[in-house]
Amino acid sequence: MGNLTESLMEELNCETVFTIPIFGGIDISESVVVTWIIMAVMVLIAFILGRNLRIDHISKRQAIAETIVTKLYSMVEGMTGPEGMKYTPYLVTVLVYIGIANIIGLFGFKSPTKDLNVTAALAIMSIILVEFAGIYQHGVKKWLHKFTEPIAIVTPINILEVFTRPLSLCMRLFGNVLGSFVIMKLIEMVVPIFLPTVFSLYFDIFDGLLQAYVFVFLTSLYIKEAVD
Amino acid sequence: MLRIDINLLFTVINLLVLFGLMYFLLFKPVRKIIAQRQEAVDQQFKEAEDAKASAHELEAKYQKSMDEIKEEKRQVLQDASRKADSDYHRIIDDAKTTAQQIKDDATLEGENQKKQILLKAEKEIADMVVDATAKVVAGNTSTEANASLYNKFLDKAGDK
Amino acid sequence: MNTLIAIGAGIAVLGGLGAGIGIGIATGKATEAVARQPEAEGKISKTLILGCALAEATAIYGFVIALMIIIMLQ
Repeated sequence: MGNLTESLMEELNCETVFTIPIFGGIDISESVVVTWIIMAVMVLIAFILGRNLRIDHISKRQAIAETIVTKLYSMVEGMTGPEGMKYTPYLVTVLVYIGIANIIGLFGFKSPTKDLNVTAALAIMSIILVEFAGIYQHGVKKWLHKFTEPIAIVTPINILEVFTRPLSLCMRLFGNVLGSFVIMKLIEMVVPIFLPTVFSLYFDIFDGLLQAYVFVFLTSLYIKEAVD
Repeated sequence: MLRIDINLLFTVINLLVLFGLMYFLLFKPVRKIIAQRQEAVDQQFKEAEDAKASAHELEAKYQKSMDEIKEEKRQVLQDASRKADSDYHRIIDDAKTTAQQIKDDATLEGENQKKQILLKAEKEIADMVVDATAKVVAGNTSTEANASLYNKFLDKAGDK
Repeated sequence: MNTLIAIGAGIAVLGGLGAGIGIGIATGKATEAVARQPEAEGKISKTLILGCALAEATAIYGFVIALMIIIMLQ
């Protein structure tokens, strides 16, 4: 049992990979390095897919690129509504990033979403985007006035929501990934053969992609509410 | 795991860079190309629509000219038939006139001939009368002889 | 001390009760909906999965809190 705790702790801890020797040393954690790897893969694929686009006589590569982009866009645009459509590219990027980050554990990397820094960053960016969308759409005055809706007495709750929303987004993603990771580790301890594969289908792939979808879904729901 | 530090900032920067790269490398070009294709397709549709409209116009024009030609044809036919009719009548009239002429001529001729024949007959009769008279005067004037002469004369005259 | 931490973590995980009940109710209603309108099954199951993922968050919070209690207080 002590062995389990030890290895679990080791897996859960995000180690510092290296330290940049300026300002007294900046620690770069593993999640950031894995994020770089994900970024490199995504940008490489995007570069390969997005090259040499033509209007007619399209190649197979372009057909794939168009299908992917159109599917992702329609997926997100259905959730944000017509007013929030200009935020679609960011939401699609986040969707793909979280999706890859959640299932990258299968390839032997440590999921970046298992680090609270990453999920917190995602949640903070989401809430900034939501509030920015509200201000951009209605102007500062109306945006401030929205806090007193529907009645003035709920204003504290509305203000509180600005902080609870990113917290809930952050913790949901983090907890889900962490929880499924811990459960997978426990299953691997008990039955090392076959069973982990079956469960990893659910916990790693299905749950990981679902959580990515839920994250983007909630963010676009907030955006829709803000621009309404 | 449960620490919040400078890596949060790194992650934010990473995400922004990733968003920018994805946007400019993939999303923007693909969306642009799709929009362009849509535009091209719309353009083609519009052109097809225009071509259809002009074809319809042309068809209407042809139809109109066809109608005109038909009308003209009818007119021409009518004129021709009228002309033919009038020609026919004229020819018939001519023919009639000519026939009348010929008939009149023939009648005149006949009458002339008749007259001539009559004249001739009269002359012959007169000759015969003269002959008979001469014979009567010359020969014996018996009743029998007179009678036979008479008969002969009548026969001759009747033959005429 | 360790006992108390374990008890605290256990109580935190009790939050999973709510998630269980919520998902149970949601699934029951979804089954009813499918029975009533079998042609809308795709939409219903999509909504159900989304709702379950959202309801699960409560259990996940409990789990995170329990983990925090264990790690922080050890």
